Amino acid sequence: MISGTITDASGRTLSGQTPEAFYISVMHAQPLSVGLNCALGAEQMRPHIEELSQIASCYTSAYPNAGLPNAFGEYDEQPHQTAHIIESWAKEGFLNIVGGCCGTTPDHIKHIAQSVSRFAPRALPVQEKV
Amino acid sequence: MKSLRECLQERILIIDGAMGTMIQQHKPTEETYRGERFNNWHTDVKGNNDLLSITQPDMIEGIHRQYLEAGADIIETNTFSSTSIAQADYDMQELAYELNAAAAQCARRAANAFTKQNPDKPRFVAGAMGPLNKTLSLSPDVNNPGYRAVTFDEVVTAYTEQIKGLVDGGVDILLIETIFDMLNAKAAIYAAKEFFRKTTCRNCPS
Amino acid sequence: MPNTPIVVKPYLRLSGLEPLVVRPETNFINVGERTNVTGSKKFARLVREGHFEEALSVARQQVENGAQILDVNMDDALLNGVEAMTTFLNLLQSEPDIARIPIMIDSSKFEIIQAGLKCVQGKCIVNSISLKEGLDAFIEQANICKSFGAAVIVMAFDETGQADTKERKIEICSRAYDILTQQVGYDPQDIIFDPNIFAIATGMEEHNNYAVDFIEATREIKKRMPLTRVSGGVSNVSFSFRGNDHVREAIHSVFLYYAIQAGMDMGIVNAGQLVVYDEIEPKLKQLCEDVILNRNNENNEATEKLIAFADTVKARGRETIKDESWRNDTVEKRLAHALVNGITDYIDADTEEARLQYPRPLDVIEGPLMDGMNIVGDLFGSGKMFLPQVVKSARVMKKAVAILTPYIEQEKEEKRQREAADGISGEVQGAAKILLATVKGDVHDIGKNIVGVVLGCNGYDIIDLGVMVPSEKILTEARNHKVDVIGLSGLITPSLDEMVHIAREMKRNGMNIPLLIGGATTSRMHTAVRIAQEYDHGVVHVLDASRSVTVTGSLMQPEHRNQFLSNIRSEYEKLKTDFNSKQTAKQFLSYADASNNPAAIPWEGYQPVKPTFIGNRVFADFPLEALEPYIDWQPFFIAWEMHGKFPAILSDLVIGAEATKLYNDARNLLKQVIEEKWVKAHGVIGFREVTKTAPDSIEVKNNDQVIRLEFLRQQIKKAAGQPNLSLSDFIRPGTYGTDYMGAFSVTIQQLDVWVKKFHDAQDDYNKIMLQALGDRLAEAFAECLHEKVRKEYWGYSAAETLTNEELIREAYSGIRPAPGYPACPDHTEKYKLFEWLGGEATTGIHLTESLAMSPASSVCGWYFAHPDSKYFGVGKIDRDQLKDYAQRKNMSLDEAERWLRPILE
Repeated sequence: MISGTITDASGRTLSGQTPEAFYISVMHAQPLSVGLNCALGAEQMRPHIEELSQIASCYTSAYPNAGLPNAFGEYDEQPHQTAHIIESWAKEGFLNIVGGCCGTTPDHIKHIAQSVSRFAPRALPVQEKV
Repeated sequence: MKSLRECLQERILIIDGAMGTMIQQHKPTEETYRGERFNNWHTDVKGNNDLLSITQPDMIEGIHRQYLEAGADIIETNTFSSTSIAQADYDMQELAYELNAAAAQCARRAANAFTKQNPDKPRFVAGAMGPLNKTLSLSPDVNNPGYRAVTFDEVVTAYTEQIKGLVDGGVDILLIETIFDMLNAKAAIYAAKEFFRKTTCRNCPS
Repeated sequence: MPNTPIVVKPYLRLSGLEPLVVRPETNFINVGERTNVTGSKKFARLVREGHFEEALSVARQQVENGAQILDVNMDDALLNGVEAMTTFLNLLQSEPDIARIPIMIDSSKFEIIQAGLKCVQGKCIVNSISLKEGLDAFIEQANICKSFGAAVIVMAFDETGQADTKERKIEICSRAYDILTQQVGYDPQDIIFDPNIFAIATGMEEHNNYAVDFIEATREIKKRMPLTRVSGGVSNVSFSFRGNDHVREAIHSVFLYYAIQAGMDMGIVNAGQLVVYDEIEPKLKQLCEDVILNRNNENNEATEKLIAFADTVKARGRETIKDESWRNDTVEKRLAHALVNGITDYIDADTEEARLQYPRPLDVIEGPLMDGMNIVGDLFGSGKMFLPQVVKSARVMKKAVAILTPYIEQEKEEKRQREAADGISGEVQGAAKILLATVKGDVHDIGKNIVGVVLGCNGYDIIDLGVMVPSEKILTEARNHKVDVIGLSGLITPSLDEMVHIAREMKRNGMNIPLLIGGATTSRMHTAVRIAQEYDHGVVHVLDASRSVTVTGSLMQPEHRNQFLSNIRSEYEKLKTDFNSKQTAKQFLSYADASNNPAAIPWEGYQPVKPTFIGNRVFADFPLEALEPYIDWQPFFIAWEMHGKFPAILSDLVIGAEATKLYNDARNLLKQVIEEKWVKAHGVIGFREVTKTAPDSIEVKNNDQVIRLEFLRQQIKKAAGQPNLSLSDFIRPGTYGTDYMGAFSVTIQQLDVWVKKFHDAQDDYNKIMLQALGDRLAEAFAECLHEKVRKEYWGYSAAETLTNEELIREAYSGIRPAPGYPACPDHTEKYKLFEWLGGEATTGIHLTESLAMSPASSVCGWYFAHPDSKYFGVGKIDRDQLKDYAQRKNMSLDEAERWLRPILE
């Protein structure tokens, strides 16, 4: 499993790669899954996860932070809030593996697990035969 | 029992949440981190969360259990910083292998217990390989952009040691995470590929 | 749709910071080849001498010129290849505009390839591996490449040698394919073959079929192994015609035409250099096809015909016979041809003919003339025309418009009278108006003039207010003319503040039109951090004239404008945030500590050389012909936005032909300037005894007065053993005795008279050319005097013998830094320099309020003679030095801050 981190609103990793460039750079690992975690909350992570889900030939994963840190450096996004955003990802079929990163708790995980349980996972892409 | 790949075909799998946030809820002190074994260690070790896998294995296993209870299918080992390079901050580089093996065992015990309870929902352990405090694509010195604090080969060596600890401790899969520098991740991938090529592991984590 | 699996296509996917996916519809991919020490002497020298900054600019140029992959090669006997590859690639990673594209790690030594693989985060290409050293080595190397996730180029080379026939090429490539896919586990799409392009038309009959062998092998390889890619080094094929770019370009173009059809995907060649296949003159095309396809070539017949033809091209040289067949076309086609090719010979007659054909004179402009200019714009936009050509096109356009203008005016007048009679008044909606000005205190306007011409070519109405324009005038004129965009230009650092001021004024006056910022001293960063925040209706930094067209285009389309401005705004916000967050990264020494870490020069036993005279010497009306050999042509080409090293640029594959034309035009004009004495070169030098009284203060004995010079010192924390330099470090400390220093200023006078003549004649091409030449002459004068100073007047380096090239490289001893430039960034020290040299009257150079020298073609500076003296940049300084400096200069802190703002954090 491989999981990258988009550091800010630029939509790139700290070392400057776009999500697609990131994915291309790890393809040779033939990972079980590729995805994103940390730095962003679910809200901000959405477009990048969507992009990865459309290009990755393996499974996809996402475990965002509990929102963005507040002025005190604490994460205060509530479990139902995180779960609500992630539910829409599951509905769109972006995901195979989902969870939480900084600031998330077992309560967050429980809410997430419940909210995605009724959706089917993203189908594993097929390689075009020549 | 179903394999990880079989489970992935069927449903969206849940991976656990933050380890650090949960550790903080225990309000560990310097003494908590040191445990008995590092009573006389020559540097402060408070904040070295990964050390707790050795000194407070019950606390770590307990957190894993809370996440499994919440419904996690995959739990991550408490090894985000368990490389010789990251542990050098605490002068604990020698402990890298042991930290990984111990953390993997904590997670393994918790996962096995839950799988046993409900074999229809098997639980898996992912060996967490975090980024490093030194990076291969960026220079720490603004005046010298060509400088690197660490070499590719050093990073490969550090990750190889971590992988060995994780595999020996019984993880199902490796998770290279929080990649902010692809070149570090490439070194981790390189280490993993070489490790499994040399150990001819049948059921390779990937 | 959820749960419908996406289909992943087996394409070659590469990445730098951004992805490059090679799809079936992807056009031929250009691999940038100049960062290759075996192919570029310039790059090799830069790397050998450790000038990595400049080496990076070579890479940047490649990217800017459209390279989609960057080939990096460090195979040089004089280099430690592993080290050079590592250093260069590490540096390259810190340049996001270059690291954007994937890297091709190119070496014949696998250890260098491996070193490169350890530095690159994206998915790169290895160039190359082969079966040359046998199966085991091949598998081993392929395995390593695979564990780094690289695509590989496999050269058609095996244990018995390099493949030259179609059959051998196919055989080796097929064998390598089987090994890679079956034994190593390579994905077919990650395999690229290089089936060897060899030189044809060498005179050896066995070489005649080489191009056919490559093309046919490519066809077969792509048929048998459809997911793989084919690449090659194209310029090899025409190797026997080196020195004859005209023929080489045609050969490349014809070769690629067939090779790409057969399936060649990428190559080391720059497409911009190629003549368009359809536009090769029929005879040459026919000959090239025969040679490449090896037709009609018994006994080397085709080869010899092409060689004979090539000789005629050579013999004709630049005096190629004019092809006048275009004169038989329709008037519209003739006008377009004249515009695209910059021919003014027939423009009067053709325009008149068109005017008589069209109902209204304006229809000629809006019809055939604009159609022609649109072709020019498209060709320029796609890199098929270069700036000097565009300026020539503009000259043709202006001439045509000048012929039509009286008729248009007459028509307008008639309309007005008619409308007055009918009692209506209506204003005609014209083209978008753009106001251009060089800001107050600055006199440099070559770049602004070029922007004016280029925008004019694109149909905008240009209102050029000239140089030294105060903000009130800019605002007033903008209102009077109802302009749509304001563009500001400046070359010296104080102009940056003036631009900030204008932005503020625009806001205060409630203006709402966008503001464009350009000129050598401006930058995207400064614009983002300092100017953009002062004005809310759009501030855009424009890198060069070519960019001005797209920027203005986006601003003038209502549907794009808001989106464009909001993109720019967020981009600048990000830059600003990054800038602010990086601030903390700079570590300063205290000024006292920095002063204690000067250049380590052993002064014990040092005896300064006394100049042959103390005082000033004036060189009035210096002979111009003596300056010609000292001209550094490279900045001349840069002024024309043609980047490359001189003289290599003249034979550059892409821009060589145009660069040569430009160069010849420049030499001809220069000849006229010199022979007819259009301008006067005045200069003055002076030497004084000086005493260093403090680390950064030097007292100059000027007759019975004392001038105190103040210098600034590098303050950023350096690596151990590195000094914090100040120019005063090159003067002997007072405790050891006195020392000597020099000063100079030179200028080219009366240029403006001739510039105006060209301007009035609607001849922007020669106007800009002359301005650029004026700058070159002033610099050459400075270089020439400096040499005389070293060898003769000061005489500290009497035995020096250097070529012009070495002069340009500054291989001499001693320096001549100018106030306002990196080593002594305070412009206000120029007052002292001019006082020393006898005031403005000596040479007629006037200092503006921003300390720009007028006329613009002027140079001044200090002379330092110490052998250890060198150029450097002071870089950023901290507040404590600023305070100390203000005190030393007897300046208020505010004023010092204003002048030094560019070097303050």
